[in-house]
Order: sequence, then structure tokens, then C-alpha cells
Amino acid sequence: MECSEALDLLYESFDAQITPAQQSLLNGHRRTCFACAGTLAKAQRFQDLIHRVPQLSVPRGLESRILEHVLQKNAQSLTRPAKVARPAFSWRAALRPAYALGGVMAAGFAVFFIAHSMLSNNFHRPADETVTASVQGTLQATTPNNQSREVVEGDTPITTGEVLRSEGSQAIVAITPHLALTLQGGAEVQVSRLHFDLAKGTADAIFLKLRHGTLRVNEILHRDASPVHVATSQATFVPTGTTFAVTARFGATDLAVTKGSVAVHMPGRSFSILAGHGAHITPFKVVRVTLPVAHPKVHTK
Amino acid sequence: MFPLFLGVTIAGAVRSYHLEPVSNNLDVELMTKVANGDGEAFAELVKRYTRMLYNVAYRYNASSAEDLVQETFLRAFQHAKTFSGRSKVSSWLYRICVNVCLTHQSRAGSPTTDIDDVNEAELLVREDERPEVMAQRGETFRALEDGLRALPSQQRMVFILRELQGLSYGEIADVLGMNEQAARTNLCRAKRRLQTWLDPLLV
Repeated sequence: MECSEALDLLYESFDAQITPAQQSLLNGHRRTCFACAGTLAKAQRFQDLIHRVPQLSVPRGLESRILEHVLQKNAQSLTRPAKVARPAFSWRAALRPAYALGGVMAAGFAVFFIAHSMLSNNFHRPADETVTASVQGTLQATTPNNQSREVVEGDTPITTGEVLRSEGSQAIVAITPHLALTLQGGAEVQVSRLHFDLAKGTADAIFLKLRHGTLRVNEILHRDASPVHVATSQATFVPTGTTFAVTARFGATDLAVTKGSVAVHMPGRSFSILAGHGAHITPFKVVRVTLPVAHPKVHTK
Repeated sequence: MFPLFLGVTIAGAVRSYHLEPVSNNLDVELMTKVANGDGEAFAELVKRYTRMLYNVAYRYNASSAEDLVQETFLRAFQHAKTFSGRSKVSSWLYRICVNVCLTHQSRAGSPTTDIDDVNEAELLVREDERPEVMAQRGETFRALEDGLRALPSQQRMVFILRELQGLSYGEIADVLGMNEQAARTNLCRAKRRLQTWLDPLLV
């Protein structure tokens, strides 16, 4: 039996569509053929995955919209118009705005206290162009004069010109209290410029050059006065209250914005990418993309 | 009504599904009333079958799923008199839904566009986003859905109806106007392609 036949038989066996004789042939093949053992094992996992696909529930109000749509198009045909069900009054729904306001206020307080504690304890700006960053994960830092050091889970001074390289699966660098950078494994970022206003104790600007790999930028608090600039060979990205990821590879840059918006500056053109969208940038072409939408609420029973 | 919509999964056996209400004389009676322009009967039909059709439409084209379901019910209402009662109401609705989805697909444009050629409201999904990237985001099901949308229409629809909706090969053949063997062949091809697409996630 050919391996491809075995795969087809396996698919059909999931459907209980094969005869005992075919099942016996399949079992024999599985016992003896090491070449397709991996593929058949993956077919089983694939089938398990399919069985776990959740069934979707209907978006709220869709039935009403369908009835209204059909009524609009067929007003004269319907002798007795269908009643569109109105949702019953619910205290929970009525109080939803209050819950939301409470949530926003709680989040605001939390951000304030976290930022305050980080500012007072962990972040020092001893001199212009140097900052003490807090690192989670393993990082290789290389100075412009090629001195390297490994940083594992701790605070480290970072100076203009240093190159940071993630050594593990990822490393998170809190470069200021309001800016967290996640370097995916192998990503390499050069801190091309750090500039602080020492009188005010705030960063004027942070310029990062993503040499290659994926960098995820999370602005916990956005400050117009202290923007972060992330540059690749193709473009420079300036976020505004944003979470986004940039992937640089040879000849191309991918951007994905999940929160806020990012201003993209390229030679001769500038544009914005809003949350939920991204861009694929090459020297010849820029393609905007829509990121996959969130799943509707699923029925889990 | 509620238990009719519950999914049932039987381990080690063919799934008996989910979203398809039991079709019986009541359905035929309902269709007769709908054919006579009875709005209440039509509302009941919508209530019974929206979830079933929404699941098909969403898997086929997530961004237009609502429109596809609305169009399906509109056509069902307009052609209610053609329902002969020889097939189940669900199969008849599936057939309309499949036609709506395929028509919509043929009208759809190119998947990517140069940035200068589109405005913000017309942004389109790029197809070359590979599962490795999605796996990093922990979006296995989304990778499956994207792989599904990359399949040829026929294979995609067979996969949806068989694996996600649980129709028999006979019903699929009836809905898609093909023979049962063609349905099986399409399903095998769809699974091969999807398994290859999802390979990095199946570890």
C-alpha cells in the first residue's frame, strides 16, 4: 500500500467509512511504514483539532436584522408582518455603563500606581543617553565598541548605540516606565538614540533600529512629548498610544497594530495604520492588510 | 427549542450534529405557511435555522457571514413556493446558502491591493500569512479557518458541511449537486491541503 493511500484510508476511518479488510491493511501499513508514521500521527491530531472547533453562537440581534431585511424587500408579500422580538429589560444590561466606568477608573488608578512605583524605584536616569532598563528573560547587550555582556532577569544600564539581542524565546525590556519592548527569540534591536530631559526626568525621545526579527512595542502610557521611534530598513514607525509588532527581515518589514495607531514614515510618503490593520512593506510596494478579526462569542456547551 | 440546538459529540464515532433542527411535518407545514406570506411562520423558520446557516456562512467567509445569512433567508422567502417537500428543509436551506456563498465568492475582488489604491474602509486581508505566525499568537483555530478559506470553493464547502456541520455524504451530494464519491474525494483533498497548511501546529 502506498503512503498516500494510507493517509486517505486513515481519513476515511475517522468517518467510519472503511471496511474491516481496509482497516486491517491500514493497521499493517502503520506498523511497518516508518516513512509516513509522522504524517499519520499528524492526521490524527488534525482530526482531534477539527473535533474541537467550537460552534458559533448567533450574533446578538441577527435574527431581528434578517426579519427587518426581508420585510423591507417584501413588504407587500408578507400578509402578517413578523414581529421582531425586543430584548427584555435587564438590570445587568442597564448597569453595564456603570460597570464600564468603574473598570476604566480602576484601570486608571492601577496604571497610575504602577507607573508611580516604577518611577520612584526602578528607573534611574543617571546621565544623558543612558537609562536603567528592567529585563525579563535573557539578553545579550553589545556596546558600540564591541563589549558584550549577558543580562539575565534584572536591571541593566542601556546606552545609546548598544545592540540588544534576545537569546531565549523572548525577552521583555522595560526601557521606561511607560514603554515595554518584547524581543522575540533572535530579534536584534539597536538603541540608536536615547535622550532625556534631566530637569523634568522624562525621556525626550527613544529611537530604536530593528535590525532583524520581531519586536513588539507596548506603550503602557503614551506621551506625546516622549515618542518612541522604531525604524527598519524600509520605514520608521511612531506609535500613538499603541501596541504593535514589527518584523524586519531581508528586504521586507511587516507591521501589525493591535491598539491605537502607528504613523509610518517612508522616503517620500507618510501614512497611518490603525488598530486591527497592518502593513507589508518592501522597497517596491506597500500593502495594507486587515488583521484577522476576533472570534465572535462561541457557544461552549 | 433549546435542546434542538445543542451539539452532541460521540467519541470514536461520526459526529451527529449540532445545529440542525429535526426536520419533520412541522417544518413542511411551516414552509407552506411561509409560501403563503405568513410572517409569523417565517420568523419561526429564521429562529430555527439562523444558527445553522450562520456557522456555514462564517466558516466560508467570516467577514460577510451576516450578509450571506440575510441573503439566504431572503431567497428562501422569495422562493418558498418552490419547496416541494421531497428534501429536508435544512437541506433546502443549505443549498440556498451554498449558492449564495459561491455567488458572493465569484463577485469578490483581489485579496491584496496596493496601499495607494484603497481607502481605509476597503482594506483587504493578505493571504500569505502563514500558520507559524498565527501559532505564535495562539490562534490555532484561526489558522484553521484561514487555511479553510484558502481552499478551492468546492473542497471548502464539502469540508464545512461534513466536518463542521456533520451532514452525511448523501446530504452533501444533494446540497452540492454532486455524487457521493465526488464528495468523499473532495473531502480527502481538503483534508490533505489543510493538514499541510497546519503542519507546524500539529506537533
